[in-house]
This record gives sequence, structure tokens and C-alpha cells, in this order.
Amino acid sequence: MELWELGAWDIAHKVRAKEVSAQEVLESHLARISEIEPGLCAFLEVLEAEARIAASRVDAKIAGGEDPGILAGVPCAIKDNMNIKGTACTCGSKMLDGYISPYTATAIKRMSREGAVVTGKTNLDEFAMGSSTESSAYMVTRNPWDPDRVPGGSSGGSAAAVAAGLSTVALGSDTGGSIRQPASFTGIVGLKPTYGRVSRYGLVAFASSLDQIGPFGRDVRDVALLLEAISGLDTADSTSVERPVVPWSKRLERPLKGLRAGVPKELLGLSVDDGVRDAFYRALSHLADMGAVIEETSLPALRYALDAYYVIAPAEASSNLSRFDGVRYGLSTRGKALDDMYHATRAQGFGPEVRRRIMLGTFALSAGYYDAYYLRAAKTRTLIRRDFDEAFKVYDVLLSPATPTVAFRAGEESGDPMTKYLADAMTVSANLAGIPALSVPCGFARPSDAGLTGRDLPCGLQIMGKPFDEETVLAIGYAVEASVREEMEEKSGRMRRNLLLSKECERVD
Amino acid sequence: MTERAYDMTIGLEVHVELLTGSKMFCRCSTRFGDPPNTNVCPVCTGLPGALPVPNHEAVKLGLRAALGLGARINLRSGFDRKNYFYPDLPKGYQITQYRTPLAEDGFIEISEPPKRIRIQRIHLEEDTGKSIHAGDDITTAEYTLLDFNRCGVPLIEIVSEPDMSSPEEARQYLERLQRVLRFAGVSDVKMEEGSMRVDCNISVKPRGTAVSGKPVEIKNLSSFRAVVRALSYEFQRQARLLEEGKTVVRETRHWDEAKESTYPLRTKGSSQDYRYLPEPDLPDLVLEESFVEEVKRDMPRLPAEIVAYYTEKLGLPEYDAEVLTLDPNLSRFFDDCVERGADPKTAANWIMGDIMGYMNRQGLTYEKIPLSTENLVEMLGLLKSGVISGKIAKDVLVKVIETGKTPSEIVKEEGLTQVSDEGELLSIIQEVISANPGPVQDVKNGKEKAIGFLVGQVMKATRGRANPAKVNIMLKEKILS
Amino acid sequence: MKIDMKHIADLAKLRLSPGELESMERDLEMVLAHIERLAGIDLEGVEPTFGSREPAGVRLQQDDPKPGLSRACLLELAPSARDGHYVVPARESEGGR
Ligand SMILES: [Mg+2]
Ligand SMILES: [Zn+2]
Repeated sequence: MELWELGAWDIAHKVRAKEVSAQEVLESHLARISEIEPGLCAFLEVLEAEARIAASRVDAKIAGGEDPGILAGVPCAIKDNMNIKGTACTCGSKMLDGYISPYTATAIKRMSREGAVVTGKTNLDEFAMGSSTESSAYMVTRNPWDPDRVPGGSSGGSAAAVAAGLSTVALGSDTGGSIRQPASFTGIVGLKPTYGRVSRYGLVAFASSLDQIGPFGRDVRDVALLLEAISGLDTADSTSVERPVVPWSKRLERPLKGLRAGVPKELLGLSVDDGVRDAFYRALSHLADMGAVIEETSLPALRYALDAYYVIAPAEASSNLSRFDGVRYGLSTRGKALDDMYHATRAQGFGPEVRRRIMLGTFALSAGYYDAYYLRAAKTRTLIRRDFDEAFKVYDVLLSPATPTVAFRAGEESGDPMTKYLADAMTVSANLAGIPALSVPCGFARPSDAGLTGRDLPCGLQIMGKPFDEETVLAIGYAVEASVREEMEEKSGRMRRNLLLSKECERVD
Repeated sequence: MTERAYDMTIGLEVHVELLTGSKMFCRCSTRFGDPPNTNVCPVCTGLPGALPVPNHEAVKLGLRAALGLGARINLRSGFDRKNYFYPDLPKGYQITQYRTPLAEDGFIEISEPPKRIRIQRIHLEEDTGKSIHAGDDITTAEYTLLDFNRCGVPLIEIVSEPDMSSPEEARQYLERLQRVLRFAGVSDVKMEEGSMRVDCNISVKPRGTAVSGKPVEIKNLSSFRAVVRALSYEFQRQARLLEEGKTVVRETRHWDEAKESTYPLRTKGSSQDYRYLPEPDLPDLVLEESFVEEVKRDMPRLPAEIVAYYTEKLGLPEYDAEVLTLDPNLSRFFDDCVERGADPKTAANWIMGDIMGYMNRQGLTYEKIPLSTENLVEMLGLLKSGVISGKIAKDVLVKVIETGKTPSEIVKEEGLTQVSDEGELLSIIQEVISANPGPVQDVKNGKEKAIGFLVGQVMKATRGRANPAKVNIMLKEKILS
Repeated sequence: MKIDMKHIADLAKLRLSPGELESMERDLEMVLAHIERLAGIDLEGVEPTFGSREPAGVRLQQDDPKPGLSRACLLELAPSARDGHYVVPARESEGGR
């Protein structure tokens, strides 16, 4: 077995036990990257030199008898909307072409302190707005299961890198499903923590009241381990909460007897592909076999979640993205007067999807429409939250498919932007309610557009939990994982070993 | 022009910079006058990913202002974003308090005519950076230089109700407001340095009519004088328009100090739409009752309270008490003198007379009173014990101020000690008597007034050093016995 | 509903060509057609939710100045700088806040 095939848990233990050095682990990954990356396009930048320094530091610590941290020597890729001092942070946008960040995000500082080795910055939908990573201004990331398909988004680069074995774990950000959906599309595990659990300081804001940084890994334990490293109060983020960091990675095995899980019928009522639905029900029956009580339930307000989300997120985004004005950093197209500069810079710097959301959000906040759109959406959010509060009085967790479909084909354009937005239908409510939600692979499904020769693609199950109850969410995820472990390991191991992406992807520099 | 047939309604929006060490939402220094762009960080320059954290002291000072203005504190308020594009506003929005301000319903009393001006709201916000327009003025500049040192400095905005009906009332309101904020230690409130900025809203309507005029906003006012001038100008301009049967356009106008007139700043069709949004990066500002109590307890004394103390406890006339509370430094100076044993009325006279006179001549502000209370009290002691005369004391005071030496040092060095020695005085008195036979005869004839002239002659001969009371007695003795 | 696209684009400082405005309008109308469902929800007496419930009140930080970033470091990022300042084109005379 190659070092790049190991999980974070194993790497950290082997490195700490001096069975292998952080540098050896890193070199194995760098070699894997140089082999696979040209055809995968997961990384906007590979931070080779910086990674080598970080790995040698971990080794030096171990040699010096110091504690190297719980992620000792674990390679980690970072979605390129998080700041790392001295490196580029593009957010997948032309707007930030050439921008070099002068400071580091709290989550990355914490992870590095625990011995993680940052290997590079990964591709994303521009400013994290999208579900396919196609709206990146730089390149289109491929899904390692099928290069003609998208890895999901917006954290598609991070998901693809972990799924393809280019990185052991990765960080993404999730505003409406941007961790869970790509995790589902690439057959890995992704967690959106409770809002406030992980500091947002240094994460370029999309929608501040919904954004949350979270971990990707190839198994639940790795995700739990990375969560331990990045969680905790940060006084630099006023929305960060003071809650104990739990050793989640050691609390995964839990009897499911007596556990109550609800399945919101509003989510299953959405147009879910048959294959995905089948895989979901198979997972449910596994959980029932293990003693969990699973019932259909109703959270009526979830029917409006997508509508509320597509008002609130663009509204906040329109304000958050106002700082990209060509004055202090990034792209600046100068005209003869100030207004020319603003208009030209923003029209050139933002791609179509970002513009669309800025326009939508500006409209929803504008005089005469605030009450009808933004305020109504904010009130609807209260109803959604109430429904979750009520449901969690009865159930420990709520379950749904993570996505209505498996990975779709790249380049699919429908006339109606709302069709694309439907990809977030399962996931947005967790962001609106601020609750933790995990996507864990629960099997494979045949894409509806695959035809006869198409291969099965992974699909994920979503576990939503009570605020700050990541412990239960991860434990259920661990049980789901166990139920499909053999099939998953066999298929994804084979996928990675046989991965041969012939075509180089197009990159814009 | 029939100005008298029109009434004006004035409301003021005052922005005041708070006296904190660091900025509203980051830890950069608020120091004034540092080289451009040296007190800056990811937060106050709006770098992507940076987040705000409010300043404890700013909240405290905001509360003090609110308490000083008799306002009702909102124990739960919140922050909002005011969205607009301007190069000195790095995030593209200003963090302010829109839905619920820190405090509401305060007031300021003015005296002429006695009137209560209501304050609608007091809220916290952040200042913008500074734009320096390269060129003659805003309209001809080719480019703008930006300095973000001031960006993010904590402000309170104090919005009055439209309760003022003359430029003079506006001036009084501002003076009183300034005085309260200074005494409360909230701000140094200097219009010249921009730590106090005033926007005026004025509307004009024919007297006796119920229709309210359209408010015009005036900006760029850098002194109280400018406020008064601009309001007077605007009143006349609007009254003239109405007189001519024209309508007043609702707009923002800029005061041109040099031309003493206002001109419209914004005529573009698209009106402002700030698209206010609850600040998602900040939870509500929730104040503990105990925090408010603590601020109340630590509240410095305010002018009204001090005036009452001076008149009731120290027996000063109302006028003196008002003058001494023009400024906190001045009243602290006075308090210190009294504490060091000076007679309150004497100290008040000297401060209001010679000291303030000197400061006025020299153009000094109250920020730095040019002598120490020790020295003033020492001089008052020398005067009281008869070591120096009142006239000499006036000179000594100036010398103390100018040299920094103590009064005793100056008296000693310059030999200014009052002459009370009878032998020395006697010989001078003899000379004066022989030189002025006429007035001496008048004294003998019972003309009391003539004695004054003779005392004056003795004082002149001693260059003011003689003890006038003693000279008076000795002269009478000499002439009448 | 008719959206004043020109006005919204102006507020957002996005100069779009007539063609872009047109397709943008189509997109927004399609999205708004879905979102229109919000109008049908009974929200009588419901308080809005703008953010999370925790922390219940914002934490305040000490008023204690700390050095931030160096000017050189920041101005290096600037599209245009002069004499320690950022530089932007002047606004047109009829522009303004
Ligand atoms: Mg204001
Ligand atoms: Zn700062």
C-alpha cells in the first residue's frame, strides 16, 4: 500500500510512532499529485515548497521530543477561499487574480498547529457560488469517478483531491451544501459543522450567516479528527461559539439501539433519482437492522427552504462582495472617473453566476422590496428553525439523501438557473438552521442519463443533527459507513489505483 | 425679501469620534496625525475574510454620552450594514446601528429662548477613511488619495428632532452638546479636527401654514460659525424660492466656506438606496444591567451638576459658575485651586479675569491652561498675606506664565515684595506731601477723595510695591495730626 | 413583476451591456417566479431570523491598540499607490455619495 492511500488517522499515528516521516508522506502525495493532477484539475496551486517546510518541521518536532499534534504529517488541501499568509487566494475569480494574502485564516492556523501539512489550494466555484465547480474562472475540475462529470461544488477541488488520493483530507466551506454535495458526488465524507463551531476568520465570505468551514476525508474518523483540530472559540470571529471541543474521533462507536431518526418527507418529496432513493433506503434498512428507530416525519417549512435560501444568501453576498471595488487589491480596471472604475472592474472581475447572485441580492434588499423578499425570507427561516427544534424533540437525527442525483455531466446548461439551484434542495436547510450535517457515502447509483454502459456513481446520505451534537451525527455516519465499507473500499480503491486521466484539463492563467 | 413671513425648522445630525485607543471593530490605533496608512489591518481595510469585533470602550463611551444626554438605553441593540460604494469605505458598507440604536429619546436644554431640543437617537458606528482630492476642489480633481488611518475609528451619531427654529438655536444646541460630551469624557469634540461633524437639515415654510417644507441637507460644515452662516444662507435661499413661487428641491448641498454659499452635491437621478442589512457578522449588542450601572457610577460630573455645586456650595454667582463650566479643564483647574485652599470667589475672579484674558490674547485653548494651580494658589497666598499688592500680582501672574517660575521666585528675583516697612514708607510719604501742597490742603479741608490721589502718588513712587492700606493710614496720620 | 434592471445594476456597480441586462433579467425573473412562493406563507407574528442564536450577545474586545499590517505590505497589493496613499480616479462632478 502506498503512503498516499493511508487515511489521516493512520498517518498521524505512524508519524507520531516514527514508523514513517512526515516528509515521506508528503513526497508520496506530491508524486501522486504530479501524476494525477494534470488531468484532474483539483488544485489551483500546489504549495510544494511550503509543504516541504511544514513537513520537515513536524519531523523536527518529533525528533526533538515535542508533541507534533493530532494531525502530525497529514497532508491537507485547502479550498481557495481561505487565506494563507504569503500565498494567493483567488476564490476562483478573476477579481482576485494576483492577490497574495497578508494573513492566515484561524482554522488553517489551528490545523497547522496540530501538525497538518498544507499541500495546496483547491479549485471552487467562483466565490463558492455553484454546485459543480464549473464557475471557477480558472479551470473545470473533473470527477475522478468519471472525468466527464463534475465533482460537485462549490468545494469541488477539495473533494476531488481527497477522492482521487491527492490529499488525505481537505477543508471546504459550506453555505448551502458546498461540502456535502461534492462529498456525495465523489464518494467521500464531508461535514458542515454547527454554525459557530469553526471560526470563519480568514474565510472569504459568501453569505456570512450561513458559511461554515468543514472537513473532507475518505472516512468518518478522518473527518472527526480534522474537526477536532479546527474547532473552538476564536475571539476574532464574533459568531464563533464557546463550546468544548470533543474528541469526536474516539467516540464513533456507539450502539444504535433506541436511537431515533426522522426522515423529512418534504425532502423525499423532491425529485430524487430512483437510484439515489434506492441507495438511501438500503442505508436506512441497515441502520434499522442495527437497532435505530426510523420514521417518516414532517417539517413543513422545509418546502420553502430553497426559496428562503435563494433570497438570504444572495442578499448577504451582494453586500459581502461590495469590497471588490478595484481600490485596494485585486483586479482594477481604471477608467477616467471613479464610477467607470467601479463598473468596469466589477463587470470584468465577476463571472456570470456571481453577477446573477449580486443582482438578485441587491434587488432583494432594495427600497420597496426588502419587506417582500429579504424580510419574508428571514421570517421563513424562523419557521424552518422552529420545525427543526420540534423535530429534534422527538428525533436524535434527521436523514435524507445528500443530493437528489449522482454527479451530473459537465457543461450541462439549462435555461433556468433555478434548475441548477435545485441541486442544493437537500442541503440548504441545515445552513438556514445552523445545524451540523454530514454527508457519508451510502452506496452507488446508476445516473439517470448514463445509458446502458454507464457506470454506477457514489451517492451520499445526509445526517442532520441537533446544534452542537456533531457527536451523534458522526456516530451515525460511522455506522452507515460500516454498512457499506466493503463495497466502498473495494470500488474506490480500484477507482484510485486505476485512475488515469489522459486529457489534460484546460487551465486559464 | 420678506424673510419674516417664513419659518425654518432645523434638525442636526452630529457625528462624534470617541476617545478610544483602538478602532471600533479592530485593534488598530486611533491616533490622529500619524503617517498615512500606518494604522491599518485586514479588518479596517476590508481584506477578504476579515471580521469585525466591537470595542468595549466604545460601547462604554457611547453609553456615557447617552446617559449625559438623558437618553433611554436599549439593553439590546444591534448592528446593521449601510451599503454604498465610496473609495474611503473599504468594505462597501458601513457598520452602523439602524434597526435599534444604542439609545433613544435624549435632550439638550438651551437657554435663549429656554427650550428643550429633543434627541431622537444615539447610535454607534465606524468612521470612514480620508479622501484627499488632488486638484482645486472635488469637482476638478483628477485623482483621489486615500488614507485609511481614520477608517474604523468609533463614532456616535446623535440625531436631533427638528426642534430648532433659528441658526442661533442650532449654535446653542451644538455648544451645549459639545460641553456635555467633553465633560463626559466621550470625545474631544473638535470641529476643526473633525472629531465633531455636523450635518444640518433645514426646511422652510410660510409662517402660519401647516405644510412642512422639504428638508435640505447641508454638509461640509467645519465650525459653529459655518453652521450659523450656512443655515442663514439656506433660509434666505429657500425663502426667496418660495417667495418667487418656486419649489425647494429635496437635496444635499455643500457649504462653500470661501464663497459663503451652498451648492447642490448630488443631482443624479438615482436616489440613494442604502439597502440596510442586519450585520450577519455580529450578534446583537446585549448590555448587562450591571454594566450600565457601572458606567453610571463612573460617570464624570456634568456641567449642570457642577454649576449647582458652585452656586449652592461655593457661593459663586450663576454667571461665574457658567463661565467656569465652559470646559472640563477649566472647571477642574478651578476645583483644584479651591481644593488647595484658595478662596472660591477670589480664584474665580482671577481665572475669569487675568488668566482667561491672557489666554484669549494668546489664542490658547482650554486644553492647556498655561500655569499650574500650585502657582496660582501660591500667588493668591502672597496677595492675601500682603507680601505683594494686587497690582504687582497681575504682573507676577504674567511672569509666572511666561517663565514657568514660581510666584515667590519672581517676587524675590525682581524685588517685588510689598513695602510695608514704616521707616521706608515714611520718607516717601514726606516727599509726596511736600511735592503736592494743593491736595494736602484739600485733605486738611476734609475732602476725603484727595487722599486717594496722594496714595496713588506713593504707589507710583514705589512702582506699586507699597501697601496701599498702610499708606492710606500713614498719610492721614501725617496730614491730619 | 418588472424589475428596474438598470437601477439595480447601478446600485451594484455592475455595468452590463444591453444584451447582458436582458438575459440577466430573464434569469432573475425565473428565479423570482420560484421565490414568489414566499409571498404565500403565513408569517403573521413571526420574528425574523438574521443569524445564529449563539452567542446570545456579541463579545467585546479590549480597547488596546495592537500593530496591524505594515503599509508596505498593504500598498503592495494596491492597484495604484502614491506617497503612502492608495490612488483612485476622481469622481465625476455629478457623482457623489
Ligand atoms: Mg452616520
Ligand atoms: Zn484595523
